[in-house]
Amino acid sequence: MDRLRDQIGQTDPDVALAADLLRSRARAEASPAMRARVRAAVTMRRAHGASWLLKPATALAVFVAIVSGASAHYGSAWVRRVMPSWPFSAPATPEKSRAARSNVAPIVPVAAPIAPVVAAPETTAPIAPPRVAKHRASAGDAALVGAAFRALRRDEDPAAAVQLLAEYRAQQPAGPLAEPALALLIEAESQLGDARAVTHAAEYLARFPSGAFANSARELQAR
Amino acid sequence: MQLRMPSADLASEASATVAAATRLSFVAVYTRWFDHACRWLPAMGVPDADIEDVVQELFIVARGKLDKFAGDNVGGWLYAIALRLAANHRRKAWLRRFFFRADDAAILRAHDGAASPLERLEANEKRALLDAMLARMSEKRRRALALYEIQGYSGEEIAALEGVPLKTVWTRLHHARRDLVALAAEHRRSL
Repeated sequence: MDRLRDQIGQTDPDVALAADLLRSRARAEASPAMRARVRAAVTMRRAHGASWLLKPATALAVFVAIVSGASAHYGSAWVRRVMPSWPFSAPATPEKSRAARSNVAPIVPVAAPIAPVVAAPETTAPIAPPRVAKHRASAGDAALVGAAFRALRRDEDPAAAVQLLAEYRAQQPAGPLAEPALALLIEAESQLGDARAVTHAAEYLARFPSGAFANSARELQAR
Repeated sequence: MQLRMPSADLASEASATVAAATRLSFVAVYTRWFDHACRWLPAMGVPDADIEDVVQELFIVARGKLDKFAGDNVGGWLYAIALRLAANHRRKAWLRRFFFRADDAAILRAHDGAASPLERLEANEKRALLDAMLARMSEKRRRALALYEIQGYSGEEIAALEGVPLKTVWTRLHHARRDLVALAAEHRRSL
């Protein structure tokens, strides 16, 4: 049987196209370099006899690792929130937390739209005493800002955040985290409907006119 | 005078020596069949960029099983292993495509040869069109067509590799050609 690819000058256009397409593919040729590479690789490696057994085991190990990691990451926070009395969800000891946090960079808040300030008198209704103690338990100088960030964003406790930030600002008025601390303070006061947010926004613009949160501060002033 | 009869141990030792002499050496198998394996794999649907990996796997498996091979059709035995590896490779291809979007074969093709860019583009388009048409055929017909028309094997060689009668090869080839011409006609109508 003649090969279709060798039939040149076919009158039938379909057959001619098929032959032309077949001619576009050349016979596969292995280069001497490839032959040498494969030979070396085969000599060095032997077939894995138990690979069929290892594959499920590997997949299972990866699955267990992922589930464990996810549980450790999300589960502990959830357990602490839902079951505060659970023995393993107790807050860490101050010594342990200080040691752990000393290696962690301070959290810098991301820019977030600041809620509009509700016009409130200076003497607002009494606010429930903020649960500052649990945040302050492990907070050092710079860690106060981190604790305030967690209080504001994670625990949705702006009053505690305001206290922690005020404490930080009192200790380090021109500290390295002065800018994010002031931004967090404005955000927390805005959430509380505290009119001091506007004053602090003006302070922010005066001290950090091209800061990361300058636009948000201007918007707050404009309202 | 007493003749010494060969002991049982001596007989078994002799048979072991004969077996060792007739046993296939891996080097001989590799030297004889490496080029062929590189021609089979494209016909089995393995992309050009992956041929080296699959042929390496093929000879690793063959090396591990060579001691147990007792037949005389080494080519057919290797071909059967290559078929299984190519099928595995195709099954895993979706995962590779998921992680590595770029078509490595296309990248390699874009840099081969000394033709002009236009000629390379045209040749690449033809190859892609042919691959798409072959992919629409049944696997047995595609293999017969690719081995005969592209890789240049004879019908008898294909029959020996596939382990089927010669007439079966011709039948598959006949149907594969008919399918290819029909697909070419369909392509022409779509232009």
